[in-house]
Amino acid sequence: MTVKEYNNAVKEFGDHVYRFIYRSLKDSHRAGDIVQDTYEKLWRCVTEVEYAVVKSWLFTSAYNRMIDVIRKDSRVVGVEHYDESALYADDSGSDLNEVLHRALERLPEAQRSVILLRDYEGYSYREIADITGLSEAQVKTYIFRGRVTLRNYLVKTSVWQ
Amino acid sequence: MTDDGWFPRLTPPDDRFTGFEGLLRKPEELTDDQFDLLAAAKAENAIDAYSLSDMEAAIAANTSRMQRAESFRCIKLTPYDDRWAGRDRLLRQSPATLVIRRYLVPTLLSAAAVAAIIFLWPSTARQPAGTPPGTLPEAAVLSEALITAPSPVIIPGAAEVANDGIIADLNQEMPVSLPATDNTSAKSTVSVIETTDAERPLQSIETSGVTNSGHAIEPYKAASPVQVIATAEASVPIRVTEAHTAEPVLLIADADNTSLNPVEVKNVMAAPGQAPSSQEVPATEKESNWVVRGISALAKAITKEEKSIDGYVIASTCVNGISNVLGLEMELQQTSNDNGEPVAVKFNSSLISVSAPVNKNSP
Repeated sequence: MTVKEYNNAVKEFGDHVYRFIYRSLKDSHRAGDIVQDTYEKLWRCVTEVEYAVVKSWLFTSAYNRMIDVIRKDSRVVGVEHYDESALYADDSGSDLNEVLHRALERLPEAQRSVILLRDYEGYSYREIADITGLSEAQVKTYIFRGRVTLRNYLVKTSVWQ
Repeated sequence: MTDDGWFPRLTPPDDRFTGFEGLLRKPEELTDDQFDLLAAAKAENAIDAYSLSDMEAAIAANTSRMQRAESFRCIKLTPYDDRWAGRDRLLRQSPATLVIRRYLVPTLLSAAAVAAIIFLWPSTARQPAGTPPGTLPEAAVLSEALITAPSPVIIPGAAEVANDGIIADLNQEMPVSLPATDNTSAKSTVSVIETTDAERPLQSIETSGVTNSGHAIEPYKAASPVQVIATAEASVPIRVTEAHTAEPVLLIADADNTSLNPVEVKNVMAAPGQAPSSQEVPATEKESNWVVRGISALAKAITKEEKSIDGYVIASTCVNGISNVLGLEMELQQTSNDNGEPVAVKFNSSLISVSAPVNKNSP
């Protein structure tokens, strides 16, 4: 990858990676640090990464970095151990997309990440599996379970009667 | 060497599970959670044909599940327009661009600024080398010259007196004094014609009046070549408006003259010991060169304000503009003495710092 291609990767995918990390962490400073670390890592191996795969490379690297940060901060909430009691709040009267994003914050990290990659970036299950290191079946399961949880949230918060 | 066929083998008995029928399920028996997972998969078009038939059977058994299944089509996030503020900081420059931007461009700009300082600013204050003292630059055109009273002005050639005035003979170098008369009330006119050559334009200075010392300048009738040395005790303004010839011309000093005709003054030579000082011809010193005049006119046309434009203003503006455009830290500083007169100009940048004295070539 040339310097010009690297700069294109910054301009074209920088906001996408940042948005993915920011929506996963809900912390703009931490998200900015992770994205910067990711691009620094890309710059160090800029000659080894092909431009055709740089987007998935960026998301993979940023996702792994985010997992490291979350684990370091002991913020990991296991898929099987999330607190469903904290899932519902009074969101009646709010915009549907806004409510969905609030519900997304309450999902387990793995479900949140795969849904973000699916809805925001339009990745296939195979690509999401490559980025997150999960199997394709796991990706599907996380996405379907996450959507069921989001729907239940909407129903229980009276957004949908 | 072994033979697996030699070992005895177990044969499975024909045991049957009698409760097999009780384990069979129908699509209608899918729980809500199971149905929701199928509905979520169907909303993403990720359901296989068998699961789809089961789902359709479940919907047929309970029509309320149709709306439940359709509701999953709305569970889709729309991305917000989140922008990463630090994106542009991560843009990189190629090595060639980096070298050009960091080293080549500042160096060239520094050289240009220094050249502008050297060539533009004090240019009008400098005189060409080799010009004898007391001699004005050859190409200088005076708008007004002031000849002090006791300064005799010499024709650097000879002249002959004709009926209509003094005819200068530029080929003659023998000086001849112009005799003064005692007729203080006489009013005379002296015409000086530079040359009699038909190819050269004839120009004249006509004077009239009487000197303060009582020496009137009269027309001469002598036919022989003479050189005129006119003396006067008071300053005489001589207005000059047009350029005519490169040859030296005569200046007539007369105290009360008010009707001097326009003439170009070139290579005016004062008498020995009477060299005109720079204060005597101030207009020449302040005349700007054509570059500065052009920029001044342009600045006046744009800003509609009368501003004094000199080399420092031009160079400083250029340096500031370049510094703002390229983001380089460059500045041009002028150092003045106690009288407020500029003595030096200093150029500072991150790479180079140059100090140049002002008017270093002035006499």
